[in-house]
Amino acid sequence: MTDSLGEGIDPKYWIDCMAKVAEGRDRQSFMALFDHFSPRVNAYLLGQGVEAGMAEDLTQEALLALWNKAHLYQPKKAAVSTWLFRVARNLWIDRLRKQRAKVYELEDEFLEAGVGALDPEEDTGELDSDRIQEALAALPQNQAQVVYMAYFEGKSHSEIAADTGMPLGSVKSGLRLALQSLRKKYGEET
Amino acid sequence: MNVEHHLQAETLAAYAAGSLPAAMALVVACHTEACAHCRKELRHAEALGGQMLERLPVKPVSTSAREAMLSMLDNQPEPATSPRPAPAAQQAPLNEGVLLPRALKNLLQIDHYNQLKWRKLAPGIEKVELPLTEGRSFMLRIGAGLAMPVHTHKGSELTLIMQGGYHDALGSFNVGDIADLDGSVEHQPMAFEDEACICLAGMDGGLKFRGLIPTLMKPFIGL
Repeated sequence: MTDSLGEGIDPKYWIDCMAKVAEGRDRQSFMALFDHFSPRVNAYLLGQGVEAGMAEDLTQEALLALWNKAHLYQPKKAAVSTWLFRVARNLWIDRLRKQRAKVYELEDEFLEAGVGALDPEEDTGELDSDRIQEALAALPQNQAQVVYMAYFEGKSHSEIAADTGMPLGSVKSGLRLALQSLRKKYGEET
Repeated sequence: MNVEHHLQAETLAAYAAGSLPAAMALVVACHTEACAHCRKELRHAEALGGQMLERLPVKPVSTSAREAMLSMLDNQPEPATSPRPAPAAQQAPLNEGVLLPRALKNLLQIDHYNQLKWRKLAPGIEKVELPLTEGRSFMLRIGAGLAMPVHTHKGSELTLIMQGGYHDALGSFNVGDIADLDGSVEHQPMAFEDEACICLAGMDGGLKFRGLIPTLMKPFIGL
């Protein structure tokens, strides 16, 4: 399997890997997850301005959390990529954004997912990945840029406005439109 | 709780992305704790983060990091086999219980509303300044029937109603409702006649925004 672009891999494959790590401490499945996701988690952290050495440490920490807690992962709650995104984001906040760490809900992802299990409304569905990917690909470039800067450069709306020269209102509406078209892909009415 | 006014999608996206200043993230955390609708939206915004992660140009870690990872696996404790902990007991609705929302409890290291140290600003208006410097955040208690001065928002501001409620040109805001406003809004909230209104406000002013968000809503804050 080639994986350089991260596309064309069924998200179910990763769910399956998680199950094997959970049930059998399967190192091969874990390393498949590691080889696919660590360069992405690392890229995310570098994009947030984390210094290279620390980005690598935090990447290891995120993947180690996956090894230790795979048995708590619930595929119905989130794609593996979404779970790792949250872990990496929370590690970043915890280590480098001390003020935000005090107010963000940083408790254990898996445990929090367990709370949500009581609420079927919060089931985002294991197939979310395909549809979101499709929707993302269809976004106009300026919306895609705003989404990218918000998620991967850790920029606030005002900072995005400053960097791009877009009015603040356009940044916000760009992000809102992007999320709306994603939601349509979910087939939900608002 | 019947929430009518929710967070804007772009605010939830900023929270999901981790890019919301602490003062505003606090308000989002307090609102989503009690609002299933926004919690669900937040999950979607995080799923978007997961997809973005898949699409990032990769930056591999060093070979030594990979080897270190492999050897670390041997030293990990066996995962606990104990069942998943029971979910925390349902929170009392904000207006009935004296318990503060989790994020405020964590921040202030107190549990109850009656432990808040209110400071009088004007007859019938009291404030608790919250210890966050990334943006600005405070709680306000406005006596029944009292009005706030007219103000415009220069930056973004989130206001969560925690007790009572108010009305303004945008409508009625009850317990659990959130006003997610930006600079285009001028308003004069007036607390309901029958009960004092407690609200939690967070704004992004005070950050370095390269002059884009020039002044805070001084008339409001300078009370």
